[in-house]
Amino acid sequence: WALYEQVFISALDCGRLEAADACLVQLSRQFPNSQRIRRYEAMRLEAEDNLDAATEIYKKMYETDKLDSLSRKRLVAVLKARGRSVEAIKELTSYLKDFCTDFEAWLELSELYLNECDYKKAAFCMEELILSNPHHHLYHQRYAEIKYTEGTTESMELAKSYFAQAVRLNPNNMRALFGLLLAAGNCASSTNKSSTSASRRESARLAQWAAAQVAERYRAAGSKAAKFTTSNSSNSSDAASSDVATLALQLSLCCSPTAAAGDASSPSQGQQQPASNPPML
Amino acid sequence: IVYTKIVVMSQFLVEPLAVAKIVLHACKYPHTAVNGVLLAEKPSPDSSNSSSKPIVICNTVPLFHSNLNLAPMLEAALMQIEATYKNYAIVGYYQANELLNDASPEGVGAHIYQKIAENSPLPRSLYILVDNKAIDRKCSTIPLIYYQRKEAGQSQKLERLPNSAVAIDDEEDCLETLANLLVRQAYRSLVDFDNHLDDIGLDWTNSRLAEQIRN
Repeated sequence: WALYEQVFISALDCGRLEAADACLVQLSRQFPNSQRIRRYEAMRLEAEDNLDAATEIYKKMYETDKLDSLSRKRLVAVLKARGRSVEAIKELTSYLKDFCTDFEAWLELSELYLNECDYKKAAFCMEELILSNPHHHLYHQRYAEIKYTEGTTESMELAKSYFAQAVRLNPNNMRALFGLLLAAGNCASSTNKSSTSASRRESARLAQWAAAQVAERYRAAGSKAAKFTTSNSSNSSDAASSDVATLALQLSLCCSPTAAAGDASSPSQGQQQPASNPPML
Repeated sequence: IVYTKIVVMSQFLVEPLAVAKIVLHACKYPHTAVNGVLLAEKPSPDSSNSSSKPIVICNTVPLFHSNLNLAPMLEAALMQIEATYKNYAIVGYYQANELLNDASPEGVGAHIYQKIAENSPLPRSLYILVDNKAIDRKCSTIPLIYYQRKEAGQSQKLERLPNSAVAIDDEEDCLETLANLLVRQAYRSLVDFDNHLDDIGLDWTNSRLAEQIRN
């Protein structure tokens, strides 16, 4: 019967409503008067785009059983499908007050906040996730990305630390390595009065280390690709990987003269980010 | 490129490779938003900067299918693109929204487009929004909507371009190729930058797919 449920949900995903109906009929015969089946009926209505009727069913289910977390989450999904993200956020926050250990929900809320460009609250959601699961490198990396996007000097420093932590937890996380390279580069060429020359030198060293790691990974990938592909494409991937390797090293070299000189101006800033989209909001 | 009357009068000319990659990218991830940038050849320094000729968008780079709003990976991607495609410039941005009915170009995508438009060496930049509702197997029309920024400077408004302003090179052939690709599920072999970051062995320039499409 679990298989029937899975096929039902997959059929809804693919838009095969007849197959979904067939499964639903079998399931409701086997389990009459079941809450779960009622929820599946509501999901079927959602798939037809009959969102009003689906919302009605979910609301009724929530009224009869206050502990029904799944129907509350479906309600949030319906609001999201309607494009009403502010209401979806409100509903999800009240859900999380009752069920604060639901990690998927925190992740979803973080994404909803990001769509609204509310970086502080999105970061808060990620903080909850990191608290619950401090060894998960992806949470650290996502938190660092949010902080980087915020763009202030303090948040950039935080981003650098969290990217570093993500790399420590998983040295193969390319996003964390790239993030570390960029964040440390930004910190190294920061013109903010609060950053000392020592901290800038430290950031520059970090950026160089990250660049070396990236270069190494690309060289390894280039040689791996060469083994499996024809000569044409292996040339291109080799070229591509060496391109990136040189780019990474160039970026890191940009940081060191600035930090070594210890002066406030950052001539490398323009060269470092040729098409940068820094604090754009 | 056949310079028919329609092509000469339009502001942009989009090549079939670009159209195909955009639609394939959207089809590969139907459940999330996807985005990417548009490439055109860099103008040679001695050519007259005539704004009357249509700008030819010859290729695209599919970027992300998750967390489109986050900056660091976007910066890393743009840097790599600039380093790899030395003879091409980033002249536009495309996006396919998450919701089926959402046909609005506003949001973070618009900000990214504005930055691209400011840094582009060519006089005009294009924002392509995928019309989610218009994608179908039969490929009777090109499922794209075009926008451009109203004027340079402070204004953040995007104005919709009429279909006549953007020509597709050899439109019928393009539609046929697209239908073929969708039937063969060619989108499975498309690699976007997110895929590349997950496994750097994957080629985000999609050179193999480009060969397939050209033939």
